[in-house]
Amino acid sequence: MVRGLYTAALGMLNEAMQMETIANNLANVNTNGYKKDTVSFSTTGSASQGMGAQTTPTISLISFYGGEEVPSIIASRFVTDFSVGEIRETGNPLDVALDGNGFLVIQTNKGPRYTRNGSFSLNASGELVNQAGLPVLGNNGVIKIQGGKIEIAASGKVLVDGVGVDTLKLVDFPTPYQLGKDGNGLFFSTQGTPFNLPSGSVNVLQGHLESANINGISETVNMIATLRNYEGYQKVIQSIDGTLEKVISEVGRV
Amino acid sequence: MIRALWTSASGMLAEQFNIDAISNNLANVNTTGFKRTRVDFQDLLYQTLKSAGSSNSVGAQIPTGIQVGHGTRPVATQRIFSQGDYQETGNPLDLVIEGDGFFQVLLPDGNIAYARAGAFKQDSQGRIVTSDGYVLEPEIAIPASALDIAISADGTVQVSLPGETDPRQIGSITLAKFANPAGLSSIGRNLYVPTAASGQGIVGTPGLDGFGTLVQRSLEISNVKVVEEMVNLIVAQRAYEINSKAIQTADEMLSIANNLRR
Repeated sequence: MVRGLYTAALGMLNEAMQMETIANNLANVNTNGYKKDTVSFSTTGSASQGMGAQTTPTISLISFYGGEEVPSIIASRFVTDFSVGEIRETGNPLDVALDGNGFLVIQTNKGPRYTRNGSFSLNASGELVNQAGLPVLGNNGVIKIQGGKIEIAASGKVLVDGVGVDTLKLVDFPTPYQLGKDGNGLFFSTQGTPFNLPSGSVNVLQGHLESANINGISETVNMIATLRNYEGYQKVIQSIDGTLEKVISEVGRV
Repeated sequence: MIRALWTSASGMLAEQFNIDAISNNLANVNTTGFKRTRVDFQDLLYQTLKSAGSSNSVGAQIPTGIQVGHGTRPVATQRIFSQGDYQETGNPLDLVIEGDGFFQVLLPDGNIAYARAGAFKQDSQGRIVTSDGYVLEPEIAIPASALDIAISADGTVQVSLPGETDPRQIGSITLAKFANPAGLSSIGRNLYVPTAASGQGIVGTPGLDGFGTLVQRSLEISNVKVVEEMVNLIVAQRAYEINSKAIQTADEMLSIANNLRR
């Protein structure tokens, strides 16, 4: 009886987590190169066998919330959806979108970070940087641009006034991606090393940007479902509470 | 839960900022030499609830951790220096820079500001000035008796004087360019000043070393595309709306939690 109470409470916490994730997706609906997060739930037998030798990236929320004893818990799968967002034309020569799987590489003081947000700029010394001012890496390191007309070919080759300067470093990871988010549109690798993409496997589109891969409709539907599930767990807790109340106040009277 | 409230609030603030920028673009749709700005957003720091790569209770390694984001923030207002369309005016002191470069204008405080807008006039001493009366650098004075002014693609200014058969050269207009024009700071009045991010202006002759050439009797109109801005406005408004819905939902969930105890 009381177990059900905890299970429902855990359900509420899970739905709250879901709502936080949806809120973050919606807040980033206009963030270039943003990849949406999803939390999905599945019922498993018990906490102890929840993860076991499963190969799917499933994380038991129960260990996050501390208790290990509650049976029939709801496990949660927390994944980032790396599908390609809508690519739109901007006409700005320093905007780059990747048509296909892969990542651009940004140099940070924590090591290389990977991004799909190709909204770049130049700094005062003519280096290609992202909007946070971090250098974008080419195959030969930081890309320096001195001159007028900048062209970026489909292969990622950067041409300044028709002369090749460097090629954008394009990498990919073994699937399924095991990447964490670092904010500022950057990803870091949690497992697996990046490999250089063979030329021609991805098209670099100059003058384009990739929008967030968020679908407003499905996020709204998820939001409604989350709210109603949350409400449902509330009713479960309330009815268990009511039953307990009856047990305490009426059974003793017989 | 409170996180969702603040996360959505950051989304609403960001979209509001976006609408501010779009409104400014639309307000300047008829401003000579205006360059539109675009707001770039980035996701905020993530709170890691469980780090990837750690072990779970049965010793298996967790491939993807649990990270909850905290919303979005505007990270840059990028000015897009794409060429605007030309409008022919017939006025001899209306100039367009076809390509890279900025006109240099002397501010009253002695500093140089930079402009794409080439709607020049003459002041009482015949000097070429902007609509605000700031003198074009290098200073060029047109004699009062001049019949015609000819400005060539390389910036040479020639005047025809009464009684002279050949036009006389009275000066040359030079242009300045920057390593990173998007880093220039706008000071209004169609003027920009350099910052540490833009680098200092490099002065040169129009048509040489990658500088653009000059076109006389035309003006460069704003590079704002109304349709594009309208679409951006719609997207921003709807994104604002959906974030407000997320706040309402989070609020309702809090209310449900508050009503757990009947």
